Amino acid sequence: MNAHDPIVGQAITFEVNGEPVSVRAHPVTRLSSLLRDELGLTGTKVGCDAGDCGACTVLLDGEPACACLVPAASAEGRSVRTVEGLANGRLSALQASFLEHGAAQCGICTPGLLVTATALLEKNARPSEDAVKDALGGVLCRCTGYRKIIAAVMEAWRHDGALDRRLPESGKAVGAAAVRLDGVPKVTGAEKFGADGFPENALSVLVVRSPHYKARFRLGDLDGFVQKRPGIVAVFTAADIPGKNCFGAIPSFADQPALAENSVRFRGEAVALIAGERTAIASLDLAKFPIEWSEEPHTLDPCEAAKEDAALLHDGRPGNVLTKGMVERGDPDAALKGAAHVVSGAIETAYVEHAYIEPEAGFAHMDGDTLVVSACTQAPHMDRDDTALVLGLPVEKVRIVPAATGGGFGSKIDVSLQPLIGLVALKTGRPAALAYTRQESMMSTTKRHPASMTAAIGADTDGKVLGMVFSGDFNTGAYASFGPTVANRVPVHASGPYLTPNYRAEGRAIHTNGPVSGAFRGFGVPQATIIQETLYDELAGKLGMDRLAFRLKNALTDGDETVTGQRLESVGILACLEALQPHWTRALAEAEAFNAAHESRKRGVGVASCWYGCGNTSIANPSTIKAGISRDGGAMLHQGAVDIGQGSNTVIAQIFADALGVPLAEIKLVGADTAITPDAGKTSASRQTFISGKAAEKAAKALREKILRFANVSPEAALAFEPGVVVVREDEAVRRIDLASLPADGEGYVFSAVETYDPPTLPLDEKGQGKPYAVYGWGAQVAELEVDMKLGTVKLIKITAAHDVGRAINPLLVEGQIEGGIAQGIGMALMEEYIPGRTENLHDYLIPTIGDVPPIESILVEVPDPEGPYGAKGLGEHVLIPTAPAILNAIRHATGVLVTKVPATPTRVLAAIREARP
Amino acid sequence: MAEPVEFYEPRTIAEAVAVLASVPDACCLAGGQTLVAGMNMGPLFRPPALVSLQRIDELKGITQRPDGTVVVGAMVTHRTVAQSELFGGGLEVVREAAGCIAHPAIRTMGTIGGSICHADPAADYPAVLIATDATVVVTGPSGIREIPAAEFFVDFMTTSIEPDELVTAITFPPAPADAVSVYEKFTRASGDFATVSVALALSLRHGRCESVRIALGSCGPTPVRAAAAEQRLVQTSLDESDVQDAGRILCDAAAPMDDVRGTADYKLMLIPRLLGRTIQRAQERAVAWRVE
Repeated sequence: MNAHDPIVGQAITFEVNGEPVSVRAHPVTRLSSLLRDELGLTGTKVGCDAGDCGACTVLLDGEPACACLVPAASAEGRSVRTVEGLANGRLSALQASFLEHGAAQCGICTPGLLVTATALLEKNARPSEDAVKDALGGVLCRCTGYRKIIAAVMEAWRHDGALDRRLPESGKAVGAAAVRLDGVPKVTGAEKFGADGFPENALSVLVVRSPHYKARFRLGDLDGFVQKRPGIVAVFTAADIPGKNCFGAIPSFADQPALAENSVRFRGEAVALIAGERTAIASLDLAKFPIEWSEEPHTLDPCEAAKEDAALLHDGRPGNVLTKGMVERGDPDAALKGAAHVVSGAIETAYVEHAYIEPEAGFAHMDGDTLVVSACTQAPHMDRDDTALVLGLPVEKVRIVPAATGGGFGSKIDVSLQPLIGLVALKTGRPAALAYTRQESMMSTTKRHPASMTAAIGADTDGKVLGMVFSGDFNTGAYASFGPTVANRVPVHASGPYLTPNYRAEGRAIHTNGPVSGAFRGFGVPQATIIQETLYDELAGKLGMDRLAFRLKNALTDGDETVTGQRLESVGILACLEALQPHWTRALAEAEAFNAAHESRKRGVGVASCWYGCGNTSIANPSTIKAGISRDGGAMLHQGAVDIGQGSNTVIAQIFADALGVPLAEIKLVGADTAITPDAGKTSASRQTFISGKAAEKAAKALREKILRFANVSPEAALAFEPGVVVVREDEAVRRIDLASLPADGEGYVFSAVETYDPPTLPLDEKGQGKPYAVYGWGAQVAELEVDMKLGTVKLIKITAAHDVGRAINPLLVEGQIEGGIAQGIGMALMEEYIPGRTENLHDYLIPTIGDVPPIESILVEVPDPEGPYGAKGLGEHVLIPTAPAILNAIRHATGVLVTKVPATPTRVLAAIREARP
Repeated sequence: MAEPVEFYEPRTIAEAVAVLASVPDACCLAGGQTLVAGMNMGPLFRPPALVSLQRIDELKGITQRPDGTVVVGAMVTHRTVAQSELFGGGLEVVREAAGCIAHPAIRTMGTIGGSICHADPAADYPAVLIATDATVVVTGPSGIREIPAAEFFVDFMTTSIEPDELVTAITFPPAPADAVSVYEKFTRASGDFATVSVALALSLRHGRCESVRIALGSCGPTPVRAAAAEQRLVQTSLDESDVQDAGRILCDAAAPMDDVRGTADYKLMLIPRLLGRTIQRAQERAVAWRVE
């Protein structure tokens, strides 16, 4: 071939997992696309398409490379190894090690980690921790906090690939560190995430989004645009929406159009959909899209937005205040006036991006007259209701079949692409597929609320807290999402888990033209806890008290009343703080010794606590679980609580197994799927173990009772399953129930049960008094770190975390939640700041890498809750809350200065040091 | 509809130069770690034509000339440089910088030629080429040009090569036998671009500085070098006051910008502190070298 002739399309020949392949493709097609779209090897994930996340890492001639950055022509003649090539019929030692260590949670980063670590292990079978960190430094994980990944790689040499699932015997499921039941597909690459199951004939959907924060727009000749472009099938706009063009996580506040009508309120807002064949969409030049923008003045600053003369984002929300929340108890002003010591301060926090490694993705298709949407999500029933509303369909004509979800952390509660792909499928009759780009995901989906907070806390001379006032403004962005939840939840929790007899806390959610702020692990409580816990340190200093002793003195105990007047039982905070005491004493002594010998580097130790009410605040929050015994003898658990990596598939099955009285191995999971699993609510607010777990316990007990009553035996009888038979044993008597001979219901169940559990809460009155939650979880963490006094950098040394989970249903998964939450807390404390328009990628917006998470020691405290299933309390949100304040307190301990704007970047730490010592 | 990218895959430097001369707006594709990431952002970011250099074997080796000059082909990957034993002493800074570019997967594909042609001031190689007094070898229709690194980087993401020229190699002149060199990179997290980086090559005799070259990365549109700062250090024993003075001079020459990696003020504060750290590491290296 003449070098002067361009190569247009050619057969690219290379080797994949030992097999030669030949694919006809344009030479610049990226390898990730060749593998996924042409060869169906969807185990290689795409997280950013920019080489920042490492999810697409494959081995190219044995060395790791980002498949998204390798043009097809550069793969020619080379050998490629993907996650699908690691197992070879059975799990590799590393894959088994990952499962046994709990190193895979959602699983989206797992393939990239596994292939990268495989390359390392083939050169160095017993790598050091540093070698593992160096090798895996380019692969981001948002769920696990990396510590279990490091352990799994370092100890892979011990495995021969035979997986020990650690399945417990009958009656011992609760408390067992069983390997997650849904784990194997996560390590083989078989798991189907949102972008992994697109039908061959699906139309690709491209979303036209606003480049402006506030603008009006006028659409031009859309028909002409479509007609001139072969392969482009249709353009849809707000005018095409058959239902109500308005969605929102909280129906009474719903205000967000699926596609904007004439004007936009934030950068990234969807204005139109273009549907077409995959190749046509991939090469579409959006610069020619017929839209005329007229930009208008905007504000990203809540102070500006709240001014009297500021333009309103929404009618009926004067001052751009979406909502206010308030809790008041006693007389806080008098208490502060009379207090021997009063401290006050102000803290600001930034937008934080969820940064799950899986951008939103999914496809929709018509099954008869039912619209089926298969996408990543945390809340299938909410998706169903919102999608039906927007598309003007009855809810029973929308079915949500959640794809595996590659991380959520709150943002995948809100609908994103569901109504959009639903609209295209409904209008065209063809399947419609969409995977957000990283930039699109970061621009258009929700964030953690930036907070601007002030507070004052007073104590008497003995160190008893007398009162506290708190005020926080939360930038809720352009639309409501979960803004009201944050404004309401924060005042309930801003006291921390401490007895505060006089209290007033106000929270406001204020609209700006910034990204929509919504749910993010903790719903505003992590921000509020920063100011409360840093003020506690200051107060302890004024009192001359040890900082942990001060907290122990004020911690809530059984029988105390919270700031909402709720009398508590099973309060675990004291037990958590006491568990930290020896670590605290050791850490302080070590820091003191280090600091006596060093000038330019100083060590510091900090402590902070958390409490967190599980489930919705004072409103109904039911979960329903269904279960049945099939004629072939299967114990089927319809488990609709979406497992986004946290472990509900396993934990709820463990509760169910013990309540039914059968081994965990006998339980078969069904769902989640709105057509076959009842509504188990959203995966949020640390509610699934507690609420859906309780519903599963009730369903199992009801099912058991039906079987026992049929067998006419006492409640103590033992159950066992054999093919087609339930064996019931009581003392020496054995009764075999032949299932095949019994009538079955429409779903094929001989016995079945459906049970709902809704936690008992009471509304909050106008002063925020009431019983907002039925169950609380508790925790406290100690952070040890070193500050470089000349550079302002912070190096974490260790975090020790004590969390009261009531009952650790699965201790391995509990640790996974703790470590993952801490990693996100580290990001919030030290590095993460989302700046609209500037950090819409994962190289400007950094999340903690494997090198940024220090050793974590988890201490599981179990103070059983009378309400929770087997005493369990929620955990997922709690674990992030103490991390950032503990780190800020440790920085102050090391340097003498408090950083009042989070994240505490080196720039800010050094500026604070220099301000204090000019 | 955007036109598909024209793709060329020449086998020799001469063929590549001929394609570049005949196809308007053609862009060289080296390792692709920046270019492909850009192209992935959409058709708007795709050049009309690409000239892949991956089949040109002439661009792939590292060799050492008899005089000690190390010649690195433009298509040599960061991993290969980071593992090469030809970079020691005064050239160790090259190996050290290559080993901390992004992360391992990027180092598998990314190349030295691609990196310097992108001329991102936050990248690692530009400052290293200045500190080592390297030369960029370029081939165009009118033959071969050798461009001193200081004349190669002319502005933010801008080099002095013409559109029809191709970088074929980088030559690193031999350093004095007693020279040591260090690359110090300050980042927010491992794998990030530098907030500020310092590349330093130094000759010490009995603890006194015989010669020194210093270049800063991420401190302006191109790598920053200040002859006065180097002169301030020569024939001193590199005491704290010497280093502080040199740091001040470098700060005056630097023009960092506020960005997500730090404010300009912070970067100016970093410069003297990182310089001190870099010099200290170089001194330690010199001691270790003598012991060996």
